[in-house]
Amino acid sequence: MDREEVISVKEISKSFRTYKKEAGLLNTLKSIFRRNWIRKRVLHNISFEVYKGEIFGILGPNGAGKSTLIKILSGILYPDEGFAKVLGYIPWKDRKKLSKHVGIIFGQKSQLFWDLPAIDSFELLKDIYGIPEKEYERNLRVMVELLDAKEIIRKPVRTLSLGERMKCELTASLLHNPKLVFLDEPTIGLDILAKESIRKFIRKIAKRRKTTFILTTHDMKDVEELCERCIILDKGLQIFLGKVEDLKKYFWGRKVLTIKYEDKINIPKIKGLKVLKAEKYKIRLEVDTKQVKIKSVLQKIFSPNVIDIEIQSLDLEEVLKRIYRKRW
Amino acid sequence: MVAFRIIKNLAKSRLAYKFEFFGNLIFSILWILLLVVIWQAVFLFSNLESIEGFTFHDLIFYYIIIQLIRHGLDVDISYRVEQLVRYGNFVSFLLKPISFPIFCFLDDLSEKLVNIFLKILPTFLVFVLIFGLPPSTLTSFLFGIISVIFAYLLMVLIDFMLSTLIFFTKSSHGIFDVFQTGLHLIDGILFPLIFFPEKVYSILLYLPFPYLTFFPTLVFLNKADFLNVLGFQVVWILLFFPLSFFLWHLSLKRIEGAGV
Repeated sequence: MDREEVISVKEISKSFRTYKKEAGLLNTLKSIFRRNWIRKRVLHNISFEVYKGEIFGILGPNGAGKSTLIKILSGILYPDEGFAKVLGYIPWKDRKKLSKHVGIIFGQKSQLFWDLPAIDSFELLKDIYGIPEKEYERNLRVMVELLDAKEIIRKPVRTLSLGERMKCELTASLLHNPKLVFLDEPTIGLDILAKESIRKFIRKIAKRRKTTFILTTHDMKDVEELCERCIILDKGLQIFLGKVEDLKKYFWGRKVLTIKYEDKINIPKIKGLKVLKAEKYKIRLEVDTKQVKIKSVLQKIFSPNVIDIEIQSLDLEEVLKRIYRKRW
Repeated sequence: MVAFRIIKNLAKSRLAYKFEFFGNLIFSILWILLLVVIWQAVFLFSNLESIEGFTFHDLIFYYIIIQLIRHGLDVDISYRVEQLVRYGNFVSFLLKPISFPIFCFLDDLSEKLVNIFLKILPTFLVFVLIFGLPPSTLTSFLFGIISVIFAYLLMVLIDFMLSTLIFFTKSSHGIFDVFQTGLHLIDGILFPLIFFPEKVYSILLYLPFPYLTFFPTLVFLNKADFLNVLGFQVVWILLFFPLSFFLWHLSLKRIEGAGV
């Protein structure tokens, strides 16, 4: 494929030195004098590429190493081993140069003056990045229009809702036309409508400006709707790299049947039918429709004792839950 | 030019906190008036013309000027850095194409400029209306201003070095407090350092702290050798400048190695 490489990461590893302390006052006192240092592996042998204009997802449960990876790619941390190139720079060596072309958002933190309208923070960013007046005005106008944020940017940030604030954060990090934007959980805590409009905006910017986005998130809907490809980390290990479609395809055609019943029902032994969870008067079954048809399973199970049947397909969330629990 | 615009924008943000802005000034004025009353009593009951070369009028202006200088030098880079690291967005500052120490300096400078024009000068004028002119000459006044600028640079460097502690300890609050308290004993806010026993005073002369508020005040009042004071200030600045850069680079290495 003849696409421009924006990020290339080769076999990056990182570990932190931290100390272990047992609970209790005595141990606290002890730890003042002697610390039990341990090395904790945060990333191990990570490799991937990201191309221009792509929205690339970094997924993983808490503590998987997502933020560490973003910090390495933006040059705040250097890795213990491995090599990375971002926009042609080695991030931890050329952070200053790289920073001109990069935008970053930490969904849980703000880069805006809390007590001032966001527009004042934008003006400061204009000076810090040295954005020419015309370009600044044009960019601001476009963002404000796309995000429907004309009123919002003139109110003190502390009075804004989370969704409104996120619109301002997005604007702030895109004013200098970055080629690459890191979004660390941009939709965290937002309601469905706000999430929807943020996602729409990110899609548009990626398409129009060919901006590359690196997105870490817990929200599988973000990934399903935005990302074409993603990487999944778990305890610092790379457990998946590829198309989001492929991830879903693996579980394609698998359905979950939840059956409620009274008294007793008979669960036949069929190939492609698996019991997920059995409770009193309720059972969850997984059906692989490539091996057995839902219809025939239902026919075999159905009896006057069955009260309710629910059929669901596996969504990405369920898929990930299984990956994390190592239950492929 | 860029620095100027950044200062202008940051100054705007300062004015958003109006109560905080004028609150501590009122406290400071009350403090000056209280000290004036105490010294008035001392002079009244002791029947002295002057103490260690300070007349009552000199002392009034000593307290006015030293308080105003202290306000002007109230550098809180360390506090802001700690807040940024603990709750805010220190990381995103590292990802801006501006050096973090320079940003801290501009940020603080913007506050000081606002302070000088909206707080310190007006207050000084009000005091002059009440107590008359200070015992300064034009030369001592000009040298006083230079010496305050040097004192400010010195204070910025000291405070910045303190702020790097946050990267090596989990919380540096305690250290800041100890420093602040210790500083107030030897910066001349309570009484002119000359009132200390001679041995203590002669040791203090070789520390950087009297050159922050005490000596600049004396320069204003035409009670110190200007060039001597400026000379010591320059020496301390030249010493602390490379040291603070070294500490910052040490902190950066630590941040890059272990995160914040």
